[in-house]
Amino acid sequence: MPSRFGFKSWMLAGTAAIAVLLPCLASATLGEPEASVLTDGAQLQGSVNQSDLGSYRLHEIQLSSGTLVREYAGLDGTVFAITWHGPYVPNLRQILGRYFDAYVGAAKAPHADHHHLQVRQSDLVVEASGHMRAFNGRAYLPQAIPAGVSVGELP
Amino acid sequence: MRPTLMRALRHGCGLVICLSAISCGGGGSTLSAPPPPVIPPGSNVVDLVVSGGPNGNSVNSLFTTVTVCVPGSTTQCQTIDNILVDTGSYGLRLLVPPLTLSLPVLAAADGNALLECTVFVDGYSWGPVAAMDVLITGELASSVPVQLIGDARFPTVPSDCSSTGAVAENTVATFGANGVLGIGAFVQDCPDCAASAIPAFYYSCTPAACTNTAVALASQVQNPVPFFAIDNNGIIITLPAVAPAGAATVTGSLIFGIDTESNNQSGSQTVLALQTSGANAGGVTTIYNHQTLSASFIDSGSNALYFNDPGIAQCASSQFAGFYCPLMTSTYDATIQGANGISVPVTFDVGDAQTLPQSYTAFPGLGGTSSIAGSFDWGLPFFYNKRVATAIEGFTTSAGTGPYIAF
Repeated sequence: MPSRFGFKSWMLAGTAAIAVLLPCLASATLGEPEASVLTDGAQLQGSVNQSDLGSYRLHEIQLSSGTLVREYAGLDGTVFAITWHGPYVPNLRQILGRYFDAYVGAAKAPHADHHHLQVRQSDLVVEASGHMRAFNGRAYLPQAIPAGVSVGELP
Repeated sequence: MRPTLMRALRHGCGLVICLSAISCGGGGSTLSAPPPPVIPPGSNVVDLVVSGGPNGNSVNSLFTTVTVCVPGSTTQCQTIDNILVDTGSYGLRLLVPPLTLSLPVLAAADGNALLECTVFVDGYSWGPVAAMDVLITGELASSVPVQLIGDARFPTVPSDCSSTGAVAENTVATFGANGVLGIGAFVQDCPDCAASAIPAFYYSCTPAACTNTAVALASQVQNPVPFFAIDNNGIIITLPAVAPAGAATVTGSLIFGIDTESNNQSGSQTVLALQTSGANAGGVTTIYNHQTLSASFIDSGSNALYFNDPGIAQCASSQFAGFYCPLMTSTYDATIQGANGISVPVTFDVGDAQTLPQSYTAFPGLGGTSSIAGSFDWGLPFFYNKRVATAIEGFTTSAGTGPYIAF
């Protein structure tokens, strides 16, 4: 349903619709094992750095275009959040993996404003903003966030 | 009291204003509106209107009218209204249709057709680049590269383009406007593309396939203002004050040039330099609630003030998720700081997003949460009751050298 204000919000009926997509994708990141970060790094032609921040691990993929992609993995090895900052929007199909289609399905146009987007589902949140030459966004799986970690405080 | 209706709204069928109106050599929207602020007449001033746009469902969206012509022609022209005025992008992009002029597509370096994937935050727009003369009020920009969005000659969107954005926005229904006039503080839309092929940006296309390509600066889609003969160093957007409850529509002015005419003098405006590169190119810093928000920007193409304040109640309704719905409108203080270190205190209002009547399209108190912690997006509500100048990179005014914003 289009929003006059530009934001989108959908509260879908849970994880069932997403779960059926699970077996379909191989090289995804969000919701995938940590090893998929390396796949993303290769696919996006970026360099990867890893750091251990206690309750999760941070993988940074610096793209040659200038955009920085950060992927956050819990101690169970699952990527639970991804952020991007920089002059170009990265390949979201690659880094959202099996969640990309759900993102697209929820974000139907028109949007009154081309500089913001928010998709909120019970199992997937994608929020993005910015303007030409400066984009920011984050995608996370609310149910996979490690205990004690606040999405708003992820570096 | 808040209306309890969800205002089945959001389908854009409630308003009958501002339908697409296209003609040759004249025209534009006809709206009954409060009188605009007094601006000395001149050939460098064009009307602005905040309206529901072509789909009738926009809020805090600023539109104008442009005329485009086949290069060199004064007869093969088309005037198109409902063009978004966006200081957060660079270049003119027109939807096809309503654009029906026959325009040759520019050639990429290898001689094939030059196409562009324009990535917005909420989606992508695909189409070829064509040169045209752009006429806005008395200002002429000759042979400017413009993107034609949704051109049926090039129906196939490359997969890496569609992989960047949420949805395709290649029709008026999905784009929400007949085009967008990107007149921010930069000239080209992709200077990096001059040196190398940036993924999902410019493409060289044959009928069979498209490949990423580098594009010389001169062929890139770009801000038409630097093409004007005299009033080419920037723009001024001036909008009247809007009552806290909102307004059905608002009219204002877009003035071309800064310190080039009697009606565009800088006067005592404070100049805030914009960041020229990095992750917040074109942006500023905001200090709000004792926090320094270094990823902030001022943007006529954003329809609200987007920032985070846990002390302001968010809307309970999922229809308004992410927007603020305080019980009463309150005024807040912030400071905007330019890359030159100059700061300006500002005040802004945040009201209950759910109280905006369906028939209103302007709401100064519209606020929403920011998707990133370190950002304050000063969208169109910032522009109400102000005269905001945007000076283009490399151009000088009496007040300084762009890129800057002054108000």
